[in-house]
Amino acid sequence: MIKEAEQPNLPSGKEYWKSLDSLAETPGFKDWVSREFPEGASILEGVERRSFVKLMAASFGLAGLGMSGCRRPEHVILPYGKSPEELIPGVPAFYATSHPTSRGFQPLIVESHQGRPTKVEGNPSYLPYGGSTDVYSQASVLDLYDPDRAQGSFAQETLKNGVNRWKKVSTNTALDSLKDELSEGKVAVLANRSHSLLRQSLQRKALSSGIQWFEHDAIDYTSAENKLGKALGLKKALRAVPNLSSAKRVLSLDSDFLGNRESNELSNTRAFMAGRKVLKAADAKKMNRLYIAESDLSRTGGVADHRLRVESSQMIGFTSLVASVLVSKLGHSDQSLKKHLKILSSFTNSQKEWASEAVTDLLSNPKKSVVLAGSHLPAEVQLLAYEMNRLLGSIGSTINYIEVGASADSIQSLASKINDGAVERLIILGGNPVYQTKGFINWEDLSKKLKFVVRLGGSIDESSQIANYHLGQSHYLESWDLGTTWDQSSYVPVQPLIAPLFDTISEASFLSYLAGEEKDDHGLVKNLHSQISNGGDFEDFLRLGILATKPVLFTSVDATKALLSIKPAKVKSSKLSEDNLDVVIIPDFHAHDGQYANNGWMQECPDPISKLTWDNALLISPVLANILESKHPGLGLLPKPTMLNNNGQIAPDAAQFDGGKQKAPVVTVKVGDKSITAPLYVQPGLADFTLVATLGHGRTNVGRVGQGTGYDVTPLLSGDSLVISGVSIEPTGDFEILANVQEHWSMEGRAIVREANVDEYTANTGFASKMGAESHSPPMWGKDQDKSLQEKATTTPRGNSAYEHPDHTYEKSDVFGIHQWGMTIDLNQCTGCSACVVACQSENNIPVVGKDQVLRGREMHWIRLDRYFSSTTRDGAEIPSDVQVSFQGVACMHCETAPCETVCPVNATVHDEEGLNAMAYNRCVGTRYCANNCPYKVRRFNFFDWNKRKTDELYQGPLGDKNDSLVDMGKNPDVTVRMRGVMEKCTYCVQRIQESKIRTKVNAQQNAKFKTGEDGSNLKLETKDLKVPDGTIKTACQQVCPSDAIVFGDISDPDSEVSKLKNNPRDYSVLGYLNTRPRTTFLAKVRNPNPKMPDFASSPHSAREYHDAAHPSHHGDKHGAH
Amino acid sequence: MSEVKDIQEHEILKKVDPAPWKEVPLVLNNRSLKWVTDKICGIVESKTPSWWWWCFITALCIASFTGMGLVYLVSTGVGVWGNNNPVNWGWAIVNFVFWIGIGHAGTLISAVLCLLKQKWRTSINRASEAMTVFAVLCAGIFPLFHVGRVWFAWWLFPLPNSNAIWPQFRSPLEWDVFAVSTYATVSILFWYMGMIPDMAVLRDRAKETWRKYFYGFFAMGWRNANNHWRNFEMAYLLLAGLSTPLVLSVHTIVSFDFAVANLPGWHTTIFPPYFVAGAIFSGFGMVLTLLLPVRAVYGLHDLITQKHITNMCMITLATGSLVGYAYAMEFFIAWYGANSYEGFAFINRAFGNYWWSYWIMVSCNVICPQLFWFKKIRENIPLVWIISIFVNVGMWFERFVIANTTLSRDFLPSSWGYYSPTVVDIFTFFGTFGFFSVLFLLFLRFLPLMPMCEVKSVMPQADPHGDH
Repeated sequence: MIKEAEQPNLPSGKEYWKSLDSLAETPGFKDWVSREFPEGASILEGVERRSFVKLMAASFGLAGLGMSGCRRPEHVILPYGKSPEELIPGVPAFYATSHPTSRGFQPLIVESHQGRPTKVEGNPSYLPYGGSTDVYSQASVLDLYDPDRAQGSFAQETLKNGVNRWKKVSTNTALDSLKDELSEGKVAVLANRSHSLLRQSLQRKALSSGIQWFEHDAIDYTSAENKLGKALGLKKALRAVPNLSSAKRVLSLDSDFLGNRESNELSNTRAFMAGRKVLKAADAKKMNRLYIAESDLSRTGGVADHRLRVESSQMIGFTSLVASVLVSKLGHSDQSLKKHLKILSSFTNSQKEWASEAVTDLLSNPKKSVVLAGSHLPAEVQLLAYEMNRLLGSIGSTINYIEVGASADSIQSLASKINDGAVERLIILGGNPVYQTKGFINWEDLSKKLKFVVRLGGSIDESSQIANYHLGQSHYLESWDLGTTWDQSSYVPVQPLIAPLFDTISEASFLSYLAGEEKDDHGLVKNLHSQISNGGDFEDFLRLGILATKPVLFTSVDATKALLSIKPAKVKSSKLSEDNLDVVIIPDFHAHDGQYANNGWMQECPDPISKLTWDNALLISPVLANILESKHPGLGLLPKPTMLNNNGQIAPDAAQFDGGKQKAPVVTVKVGDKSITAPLYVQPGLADFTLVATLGHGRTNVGRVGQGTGYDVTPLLSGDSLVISGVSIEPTGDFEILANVQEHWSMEGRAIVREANVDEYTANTGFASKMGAESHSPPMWGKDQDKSLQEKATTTPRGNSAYEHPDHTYEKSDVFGIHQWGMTIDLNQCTGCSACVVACQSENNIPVVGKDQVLRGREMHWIRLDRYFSSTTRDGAEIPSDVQVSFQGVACMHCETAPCETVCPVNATVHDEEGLNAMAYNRCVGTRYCANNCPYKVRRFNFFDWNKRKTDELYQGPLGDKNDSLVDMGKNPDVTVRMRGVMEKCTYCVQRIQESKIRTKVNAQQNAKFKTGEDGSNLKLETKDLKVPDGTIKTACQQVCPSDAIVFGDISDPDSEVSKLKNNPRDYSVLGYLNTRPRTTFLAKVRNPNPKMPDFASSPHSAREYHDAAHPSHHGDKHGAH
Repeated sequence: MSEVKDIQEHEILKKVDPAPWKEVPLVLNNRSLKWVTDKICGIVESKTPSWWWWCFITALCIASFTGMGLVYLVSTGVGVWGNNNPVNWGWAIVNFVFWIGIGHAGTLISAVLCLLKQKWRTSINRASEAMTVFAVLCAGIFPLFHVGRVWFAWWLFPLPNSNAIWPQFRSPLEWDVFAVSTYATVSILFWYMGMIPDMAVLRDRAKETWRKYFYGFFAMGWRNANNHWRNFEMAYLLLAGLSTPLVLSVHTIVSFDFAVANLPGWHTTIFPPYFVAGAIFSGFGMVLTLLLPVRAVYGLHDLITQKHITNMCMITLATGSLVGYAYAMEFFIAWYGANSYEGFAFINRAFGNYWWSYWIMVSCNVICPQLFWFKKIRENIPLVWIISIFVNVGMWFERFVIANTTLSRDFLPSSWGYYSPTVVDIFTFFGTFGFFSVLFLLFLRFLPLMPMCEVKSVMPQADPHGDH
């Protein structure tokens, strides 16, 4: 380490900024700056590898000095003669930070290779998430290297011909002109919602200097807490934080608490799915149960044991019904409440039995049941849910209500203040309010009344268009900040891993400038930390990445009075029909509220339920689809039934696939005088008269990735609610092509995802092995059938095979197979969140191929999530309305007798001694025979040079433009970037395996050196010392999984977790009868329905479909009539 | 059937009074040996007809499509074709099997019929062998260029190299390399060797110097010496014996590309015989397609007689029926095997999203050739020619059905997909017909299209016991 004495004048943070400025003095940099946006946007000489390495080398020179943050203060020194400590070329460093989102700060550990952040992981120190992250945090690292970022600050100027253009200015210039304007007064800030404590403290200072503050988020996760606080007559907001680890029964009222529509997704998933872990029959009896009444088919609905389709606009009535049943079953003393609830629930005529049985079940588990209400639902539902939880005794056990500050003023009041002239200067902080509110705010008029607008944002978007200056906002991996997690139980830091790549400014620096403080953001965070921690060690905080705190718990109060004030008129809603529809607007899976619209990983990650990529569609129910189809013949919404559909051979597709491309009719959606056009997509599981639209697509000022994707729903927004009633649709006669990665929704009675109900499982824990063709065929392993897993894995007995293949034995191989790698995927744990898909993409440098190529069936994901629907009955060519959802993550199975290996003519895919099905990219010539012969279809072929060429110029071959080099900085250097013409697939993250093996070996060598005192080739290492301890290696998909569905490890070790799971009777191989002997096996799914419920079926639908297909004689002549 | 030759009278024959033995002559109109020589050599020696030039230039243009398609493919990537993830093999492999199949008739006619002493083969075997060689060349383009990195395709050959990695001998694609290259080598040898005496004739008749040298070079010093003939006939017989198993092996191994895979619809033991039957079927279809116009243009009616056509029609009928039987048997076994994946694969073939290709295949391959039961149709040359084209179309679709229906819908419904070719696919394939035509036109123009010596040997004039 460079000693402190040798470097007496350490640069402070202030000087650090100066050193960037001095970098900006170099002629090369100036030349680059002089290039005008947007031409300059695509040319990045500024961050060429050489100069980048130089920059980073300078920062490494000061490693360990002064700030212990991962971004060291910069100081240009001579290149090192000796490598500084902490920096080992080729070995990544990990830093704790967090991802600031509107759902709270997500604690992270970020992997950095030679100063380049490459991979995001969850911070395991934050126990509710247990080291998992959501899909957006995984993808967020790509935004750092987005060539379409605002690469600095820009001023908008109007040319003589009236055309507006952006001229690059230095951020300091922009800030200077902002300073002049600030002194004029009448300044307002319009910000997105944030959970930053740093922002809160700076906001207070700004408010005291006369700046007004407004907030807006189109997808407002805080709306429920504000509504509930208000309904209970509190000044504060009341945030419901479920604690599902002890919940036995959950009733979800349109609440997607396991998905992206609610805020606590990760901890909910982790806690709730832990209650569904079934390893033995006794566990099944303790398994939790989920009831859901919802309008959309959410991921939570996919997990549910009982699912009722209820339109969101009817949800007050339905909730009243549930509450009424609950109150009467409880024998509540307040007769007026009983009577009032009865009146309220009288508007809901159906589902009484469903609600009644569900409530009975909730009541039979006192203090272990909980009612959750969707955050988009009105105050009445929030209030009813609160009171039900109170009556169930859930508050304090399965759900906590915490007091949080009420939200700032709304965007509507900002608009009226601008109209009144009370606000003349506007600062738009993050978010994208202009895009999100154009349905109810006339920005064209408002911008005329505004004298000066500054925008701080990551990219030049719709909201920048009304601004005079756009200040480039630093990515969170380039900034300092400090905030809280959603449950307010922890403070988490945001610390930068890299100096800003461009002349951008962090939100904290900007706000401190606004507050007139001009402190550097690092100092601010350090100050704030010392305040909140009472002088705790800042470096410890950064190292751990978390500081525990206690949320302010709300002492529950009786809400009877508030409930009695609910007016029946509010509950009464008009009857829905094809002319009077509901639209439920939800965050888009890909773009969220629009902020990930330019993120290629997110755009290409299929929506877990609809399986669409690169687009959103207007989802409609099969019932409505049939009505539309009969009203508008030739609409082309539903495919014409084929002979195979009509005679029940296969289920119909949910959409017309023309040459594999989904052809979706476009409709005009009208509500009042507002309208949009959108393509339709039939989604089984939707409430009959609900349309589901997603927000975040169809943006106009977005980068190259997000340009032209999807339709824009924002013109329909009213600013009040995301559930809009009184909607009608009219076909336009046009069609749009959608890129759907899964054409067929039914499993067709094949034993792919094997499922049973709890009763079936407890009666026969090995039910999974009684399904599939292998249950009828002779045992795969022949006489060795009953050998232990370990023996089978290490010796691979021949079974019935004539081949001597493969050989993992110690004696015959020159490289010992000390480990035998294997994986299990617990189908009972998967919620379909898809974080594994993006985590794998990030870890393994998987390219983005673009919509056109996805349409051609060439997506490259190494792990995919298959989503199957199964239905109560299947009537020929009809698309079912009530479906059960089954997810299955499928990646390379690493078959022991791999069909891909024997057919490769050049030995490019071979088995290694540890049971990996290895892919030698260098050797591959690309016959694609392996991909054909893979029964699981997990192999991916590089049809083009995805990494080298721009996605829209693939067909131009060598004449096409090369990809932006900025993206290359985010690549994982441990994984080969594949060229065109070669095959690729999941490697079980072989780079992580190798790294751990090397580390174990180094440790073993060091131990041996200490023990023997010798140092040389005569050191003897024992096999047990070379074994990587179980749990050391986590594959990328495993690490990110919030419910720990994926377990990877050594199956030759009988004590490893994966071995234990593989010995579980639920374990089975998909298509096991092919004798591929896959190393990835699945744990069958167990559903937990309530036998008293009206929709109870003694077997899961897919299991019934399997039995019908496997034993057609058992059900007589009636095809599909069950 | 115009002439009936009386047989010698014997005592015993008088007693039994048999019906006269009617042997249909293989060369009509009692042509002389010289006529045969003049006729065949005349085609080569006469001035190039203008129709030849038109055809040649057109064929060359069409062939350039393949060239351009391949340049685009290699420079840009396999993505320019329609292949996708479930259907990783598209038209390229279909075309490969199609052309290889066509290549079967030549060797069958020259080797198998030679061993079986089918004399009628003589007037058609040279052109069929040429067709075989050219078809194999066309076929070779596809497996070579369908790979992702053509520049490394040589890794499929067992060459010692610095990587010290050998090819994988368990892969059917590797077997293909050996099977097809062996077949190509033997076919070329057989074709060329059979031409040596005829080359000598052309050399001897040549007037221009280049001809003397050209044919002289390829005639390899042929002097019609007795020991030349003896060696020639022995070598011919040996090569015929060597090629006969090849007729069976090549398409058997090509069928292994599918049968060795584990996919439903591919993994069936019926494939080898079924593919061989189909190959012979398509080969004869192509021979008819080619020789009927050649016969008309060059006026070869005395050499390629109705008897030849009838025989070829009958073989087409027989093999077409065999193929039809195989189609039916596949369905039976899929049902009898009671494997739901297998069962679905076949129902899907007939009624799934590629049903149209299945029914094109069945109507062209099974129904069409049944017309050859009728003598009237066999003797209606234009109709025979049209049916032979249907046979070719049907056999292309057979390979398309096998490759695509299985790949597009295999085990996991989640991965089901659909394949459609791109313009590049279509043009590259179309271009190979041009390439084939270029070669065949050059053959017609410069090489003897019938083995004169062999034709003469089956003429009555060559029979020392004959009346003449």
